[in-house]
Amino acid sequence: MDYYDLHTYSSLTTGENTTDEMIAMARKLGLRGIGVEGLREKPATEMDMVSCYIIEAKNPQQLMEEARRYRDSYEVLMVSGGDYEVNRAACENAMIDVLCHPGKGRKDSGLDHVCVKAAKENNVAIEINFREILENYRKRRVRILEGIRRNVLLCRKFGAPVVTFSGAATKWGMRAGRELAAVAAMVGMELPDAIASASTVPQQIVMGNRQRLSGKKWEGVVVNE
Amino acid sequence: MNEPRMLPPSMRPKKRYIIFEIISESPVEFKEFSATAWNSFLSTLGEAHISEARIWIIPNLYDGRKQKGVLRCGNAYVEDVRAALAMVSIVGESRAIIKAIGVTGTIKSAREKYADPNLKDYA
Repeated sequence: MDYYDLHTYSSLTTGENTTDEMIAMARKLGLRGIGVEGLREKPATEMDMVSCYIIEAKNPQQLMEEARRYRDSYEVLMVSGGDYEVNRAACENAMIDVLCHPGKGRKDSGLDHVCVKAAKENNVAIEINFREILENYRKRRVRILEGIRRNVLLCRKFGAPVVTFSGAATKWGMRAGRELAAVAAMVGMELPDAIASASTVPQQIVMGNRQRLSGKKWEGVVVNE
Repeated sequence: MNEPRMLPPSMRPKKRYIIFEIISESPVEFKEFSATAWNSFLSTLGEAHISEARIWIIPNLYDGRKQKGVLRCGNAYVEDVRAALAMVSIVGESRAIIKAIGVTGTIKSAREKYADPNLKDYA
């Protein structure tokens, strides 16, 4: 099984370790590919390096501007969730690939049935962010798990894609793909879907965008080769 | 609008209200009880299991004089919550026993069934 962790930070942006150190850890953990935020020039490595950008928008207008600006520059475009209006705008925007931690800093889960239905239509994946769980304890962790459970339930109900990433800002925050899948199963996903959320779902996002960026794939067109 | 919408009734999680009573050597304040109860939930049931139960100890419905209160949890977790409350032996500095005196589906039926006039003062 090829596991992909598309939400990590290196010293290119706000992370503590260099990209090479993150790659070395990913190799030890058996990951097939990692996405490092802000990566443009890929180092020479057998690890499948994915260039990602995480939009931090204060309002839906800013989100749209940044999505237009960065869509064709990065292989995976993600949105930093937390504000409900930004969450909803991300779910309604087909240019976005992943909505990260929609419940961050909130007492509720950050999403409702309207957002998740829109995410399904626009193929926006909802992220289970492992770092949010890891860096909180006891009652705060319980509240975060409650919010993630609710989002997972909504995604199962409406068929929206779910991805599970580490959100690691240091190499010690990374986890092996099968362990991330176990966390996804703990918050309510069926095991095959949980494993897919850390492997095939992110892989399909990456491969689809690579084909589109190289000009080989157009929306709504089936090419008979 | 900066809040997620309420889910339609068919998708809302089912809840139960547990009316409990604290029998203790000296009066117990809400914050002491809440901290002790959460310690018990976490150590008896664990973070993962508790996140399914969606527990809320309702501050406005706690009566310090009669040592009665209400907490809300998921309908499938009532017995687990009762068991975790049974594990509490000390609240603050006094020995205590927590007893569930009723389980209802709404706060209104809690008032009607248990005829506790104090519940209405805090609603």
